[in-house]
Amino acid sequence: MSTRVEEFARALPAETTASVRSASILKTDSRITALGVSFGDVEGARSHAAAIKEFVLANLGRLLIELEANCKKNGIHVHWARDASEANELILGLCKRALGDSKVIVKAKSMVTEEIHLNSFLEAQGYAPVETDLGEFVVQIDGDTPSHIVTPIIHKNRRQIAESFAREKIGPYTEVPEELALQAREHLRSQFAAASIGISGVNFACASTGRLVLVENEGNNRLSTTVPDVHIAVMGIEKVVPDEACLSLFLPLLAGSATGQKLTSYVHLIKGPRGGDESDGPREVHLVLLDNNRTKVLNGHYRDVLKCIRCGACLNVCPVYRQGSGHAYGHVYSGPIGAVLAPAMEGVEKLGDLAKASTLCGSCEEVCPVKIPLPHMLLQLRDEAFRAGVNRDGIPWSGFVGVATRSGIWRAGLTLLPMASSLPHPLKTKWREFRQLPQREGRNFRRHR
Amino acid sequence: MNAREEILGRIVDRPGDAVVTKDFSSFVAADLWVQFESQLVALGGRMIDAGELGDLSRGVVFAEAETGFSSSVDLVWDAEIGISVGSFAIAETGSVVVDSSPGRHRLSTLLPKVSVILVDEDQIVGSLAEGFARMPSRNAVIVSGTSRTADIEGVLVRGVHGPGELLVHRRQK
Amino acid sequence: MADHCRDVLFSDDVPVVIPSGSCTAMVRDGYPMLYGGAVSGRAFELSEFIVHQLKVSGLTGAESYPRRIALHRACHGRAIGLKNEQEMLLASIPGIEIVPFGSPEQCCGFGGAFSVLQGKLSSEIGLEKLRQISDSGADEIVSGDMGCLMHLKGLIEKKNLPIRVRHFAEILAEVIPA
Repeated sequence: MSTRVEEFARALPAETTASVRSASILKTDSRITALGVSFGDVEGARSHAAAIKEFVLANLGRLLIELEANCKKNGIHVHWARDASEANELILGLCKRALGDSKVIVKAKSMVTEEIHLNSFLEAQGYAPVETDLGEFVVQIDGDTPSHIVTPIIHKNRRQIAESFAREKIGPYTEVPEELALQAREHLRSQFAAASIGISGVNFACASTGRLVLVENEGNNRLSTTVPDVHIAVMGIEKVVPDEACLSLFLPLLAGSATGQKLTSYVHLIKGPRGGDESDGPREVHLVLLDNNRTKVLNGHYRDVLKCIRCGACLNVCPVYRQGSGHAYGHVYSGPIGAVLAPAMEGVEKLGDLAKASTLCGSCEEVCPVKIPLPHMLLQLRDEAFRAGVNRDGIPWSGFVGVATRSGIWRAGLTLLPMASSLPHPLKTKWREFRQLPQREGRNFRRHR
Repeated sequence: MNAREEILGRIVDRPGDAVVTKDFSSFVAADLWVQFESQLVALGGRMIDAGELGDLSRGVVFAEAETGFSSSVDLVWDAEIGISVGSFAIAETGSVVVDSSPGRHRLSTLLPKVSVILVDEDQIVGSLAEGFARMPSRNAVIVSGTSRTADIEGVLVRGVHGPGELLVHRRQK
Repeated sequence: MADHCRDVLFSDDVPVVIPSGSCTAMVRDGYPMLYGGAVSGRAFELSEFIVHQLKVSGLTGAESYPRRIALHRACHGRAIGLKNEQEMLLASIPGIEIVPFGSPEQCCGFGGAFSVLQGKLSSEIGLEKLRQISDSGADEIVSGDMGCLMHLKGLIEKKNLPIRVRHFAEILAEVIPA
């Protein structure tokens, strides 16, 4: 059985593959350098990070209660949402209440709000949330979706971006990245100034202090969470960490794995709304704690996938991702992490074929900062999907097994190989679409003494 | 049942000993300000002396009161240069921690194209882990270099939404 | 099939040396899933056996092999924890030059049934590997896994590329005096 990733890759323009591939190679290389510089013992750092995340999963209930209590102490309003629609309704309610004369909602890049399709929900309700991260902004004006969890427009080149900017009259046509970035800056400044609500995700939420930690490079996240009167932060419940000390490990691991940096340009430690002695910052901070199948994953085979810190390193290194792009996966979460997370959250019946879109090469596990055993999980998903009656590959293997387990027939087959080569078989037809069939080379391994 | 109870009800904890974070950093402390400067420069920032700071302060400036300079504009939105006070520097990462103590403006390190941060010379730590050990408990930001993006073909662009220039002045007591 | 192999190969208490990381991984990681442990400890990939069991870290008295080779580290080598065993043994052969190439961590795209069921992905990954290796100036691709080599060779022949493939064991057989 072919997969949606294969079908997508077959139709994908070479230009897109080239964009994805070159950026992925760059990021994979810079990751190795950055982690090597930050850590004396990268292996040890990854194992330790995995151990802390394991502790989080084993104590998730307690940590969430602690986080909630400390957030409240800091003046943050805490909300809980069972699923996407509950979260969306909750956020809509906050928007309705908070939006006065200004109707502007600014958004910082956040995967969890992509997951719940918050933008399209708010748009259907008559609101116009503005994505302010440069990549997400391009995605939004193009009516596109992000194809990478860190670099949303990895699939686009500068010419395509230039055309979009000119079309939307963001500024005069230019293909120079500096000028495009400056145009976005000018364009979005007025949006920030007018916004009364800022919506963001959360990278880490510290239970012991109730502080929300957000990382970014552009500054749009800081603007979105500082300028408007109301800041709404949305987080998957697995993002809680016990304390702030662990950030000295997680932040360089995340920045190194994601973008090859020691630290991102900005790390925000958001304690809460503007205090009486503070001169700026939002008047209200809301935290939405989202389940959306995470507890289901927590209680199943794929629990470790909840350790993910969304660095995207597994996408960058994945040979299949490099050929297919993130859109091929047909889900917000793509690449190896998406191929596990998406079916784990939404079921193998719907998304189990994603597990087949992998060579099981293992490079994802090798780069994962929290050592999620992705290849093993992909195997497990294949098994589960097979048992559920999805993912049957339609190849008659039985004949091969019949021959290969009978030594007499197998030996005869080897000597008769050229003749066997002329027998039709779906495997051979598919093989030959892209390659020549192997030929017998006239030597015999068994007699090679 | 409300969402909170339902979500928490689905989670079964298996309590164990807390994991105490170990330091895996490769950082070896030497002359902290020298180390800080080399990291800062690698991040596209640089150190400035009192003379250059004085020159800058005569531009279109928004300056926090504690800096000793006066603002030439009322609103930080109108400034070309923001002069702010940092809490402390981190040598390992070339970072400056800026918190929201009274008199500080979060936006002064963010809106102007040039951000100047003053750090007292005795306010520096070596490693990031040491930084977290003394992190102010207020709203705060760890600034490591300029605003930047590599969203367009992986090309590094500085100053996309925030400052494209980051200048740090080591303030003598 | 696994039943058959287990009965034939693992009924005696002798090490089973396998010239394939992929097959070794099946025995080591797959069999425990099927049978629950037992057989796995006695399966060794060829270079692993030579270096760690026989404690041989270089080939003495090997004949010259004057070629520029690109050593493709098969992914199943990664799966069974191979490090630089093959490289170490090859590097000790006189005349051989191991040429570095871009993105060596990348898979060749074979992936077993993946190669036929996801043919486009598989072939494009393979062609990318071949581009990287061609750019390196190597004239031969060497690997410890037949799957990779069969796939790459199929692509090479389809595209008429001037590079040949050889199994790691073939080279050892050629340079070690009888």
